Amino acid sequence: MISAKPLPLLVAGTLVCLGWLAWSIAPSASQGRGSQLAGHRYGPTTPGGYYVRVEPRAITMANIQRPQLTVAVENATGQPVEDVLVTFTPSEGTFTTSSSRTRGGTVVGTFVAASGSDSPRTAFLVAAVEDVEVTVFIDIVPAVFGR
Amino acid sequence: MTAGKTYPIVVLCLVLGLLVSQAWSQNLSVFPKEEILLVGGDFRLRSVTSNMAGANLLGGGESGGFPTQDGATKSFFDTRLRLYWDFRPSDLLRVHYRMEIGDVRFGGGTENGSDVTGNLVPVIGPGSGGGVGADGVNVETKNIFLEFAMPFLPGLSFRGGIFGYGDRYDFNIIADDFAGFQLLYKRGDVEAHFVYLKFFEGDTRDNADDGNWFGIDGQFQISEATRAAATFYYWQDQEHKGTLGFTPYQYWIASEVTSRLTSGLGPVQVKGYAIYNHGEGYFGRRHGQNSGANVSLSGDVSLNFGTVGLQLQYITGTKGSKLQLEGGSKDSKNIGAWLGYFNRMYQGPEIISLGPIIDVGDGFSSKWGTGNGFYNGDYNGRLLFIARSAFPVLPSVSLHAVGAYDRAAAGNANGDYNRGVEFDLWAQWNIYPKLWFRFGGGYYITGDWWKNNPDASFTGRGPGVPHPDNIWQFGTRLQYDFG
Repeated sequence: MISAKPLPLLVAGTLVCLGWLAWSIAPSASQGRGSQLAGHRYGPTTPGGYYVRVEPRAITMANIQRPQLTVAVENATGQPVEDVLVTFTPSEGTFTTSSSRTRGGTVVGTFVAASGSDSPRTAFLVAAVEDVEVTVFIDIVPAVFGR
Repeated sequence: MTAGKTYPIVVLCLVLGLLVSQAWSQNLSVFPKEEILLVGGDFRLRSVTSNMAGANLLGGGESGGFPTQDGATKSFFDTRLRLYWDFRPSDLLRVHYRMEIGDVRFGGGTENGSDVTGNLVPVIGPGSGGGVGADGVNVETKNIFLEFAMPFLPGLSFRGGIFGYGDRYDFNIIADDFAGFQLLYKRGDVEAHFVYLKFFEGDTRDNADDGNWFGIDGQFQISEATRAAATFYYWQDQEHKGTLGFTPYQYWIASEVTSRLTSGLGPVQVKGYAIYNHGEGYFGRRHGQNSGANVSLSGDVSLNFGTVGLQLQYITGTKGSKLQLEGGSKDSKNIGAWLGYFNRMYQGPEIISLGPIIDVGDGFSSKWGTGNGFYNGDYNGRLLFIARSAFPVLPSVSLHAVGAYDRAAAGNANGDYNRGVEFDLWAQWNIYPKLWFRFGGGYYITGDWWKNNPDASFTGRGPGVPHPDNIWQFGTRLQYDFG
């Protein structure tokens, strides 16, 4: 028979341990190892019938930062599709990728804002797979607000 | 072994076991030994020539004052270096420090004073270097904060320290550097944050707001090319708490929609927002309630040869002058004016907004609570129409032309509405990557609203000048961004 006295200690200890365990695991999970992009799935495209996800769907940056953006192309069952052409059209600046076709189902690129444009504004980047276009709005804000 | 001993031992073993896994996780997968240090910043050298009202102990920023009569032409140049260090031991954690040296100003022909924000504006003449900077100090901390991904919930992160913060509504409500903390969530189509801010008040900013800010903001991507956002801000005035028998407050409820449309000319970025504001408090000399609205719609089309954009904004106001509305006492009077803490970041106008040419910040958009703030026309509200354009005339040179019509939503003490018309023309030359030179000017034709207007005087009590000058400003700005 379990006495009532050690129960609070047991409960408290277990909670502490579980918290600690979650702390240990959660950061690793959030690094995105093998994880699927979380955003809405757009498509199907024509004629390929692909589905498109873009991550992140929102970017806030200072003009000298270089955020990364990932486009994932998958089939109807969610499996990654290889060698699909993805094009990018930024409203300003440049967006560079190592490959314009999917590798491992994704294309990863880096956005660079127009040189010298430190005025606050909203730019956009259009990622296109066949006839589906997904727009990412990029809020460019001052690095320092107090001038 | 009895149950009384067994369970503590089980708990102890569990704790020890998990400590091992915790240590393994911390040392290997989460925080590797390599520490990544990113260093960057910018250096700026600029010149300003203008006939705006000069700095004065009663207010009036050097480059951001207001029309005066037969104002002297003055010019100065200054330098500023900003440096930052970003320590990123992993993608999950970041420590950021940003400092500023300057602005060190030379020339200007004005005596030391304070600008409309309360910052000191000393002038360092030839041979007298070593003094404080134009904003009161020579070396200062701009940002210092810690940011890390929170456990348990992917996409949730924490930021705490001193950092810049501005709203998404052309910074109509709030934009400055604050001490505070922020909880941010970004995952999939959702981005949201909660923020608590305390104004970063110091010896050189003794007339600062000194209030508590609470904000919650969220945006959702509702389709391939459209996002919607909603925001709530609450401001608690600590400075006047206890002087009125209640704690003054303001709140703002706002919503925004941004969308990319297609047209025969090219893609059009459309942005519209609406803000409702209500509060009760003490602003300048008035004790009472206020309610107001601020709506804006803008569209920018990308053409083959450049971009062209329009913006129309309406901010509710109340007829009369501050002096009339306030009655010279703290009596309870309700006004229909929209109030905000800050506004200076429209895209385009140099004088009405934060100048894109020379980056001078006070303009007609000074903070509330100051004697001569023309924030959005103050209690008279505003109707603002902006036409802006940018044309890449050469691969490394772009030309920018802007026009703006500025009108009060309600008449001033003299029944006048017309505030003025502004024209701007400037060019940017990208000399090398990250090194650029910007030069040009703005001209503001003052309307009747400024004539004999007590809201347009240094004190805010006496009448303004009967024949205010048209304002002009010419500037150059050489800047190198690095890192």
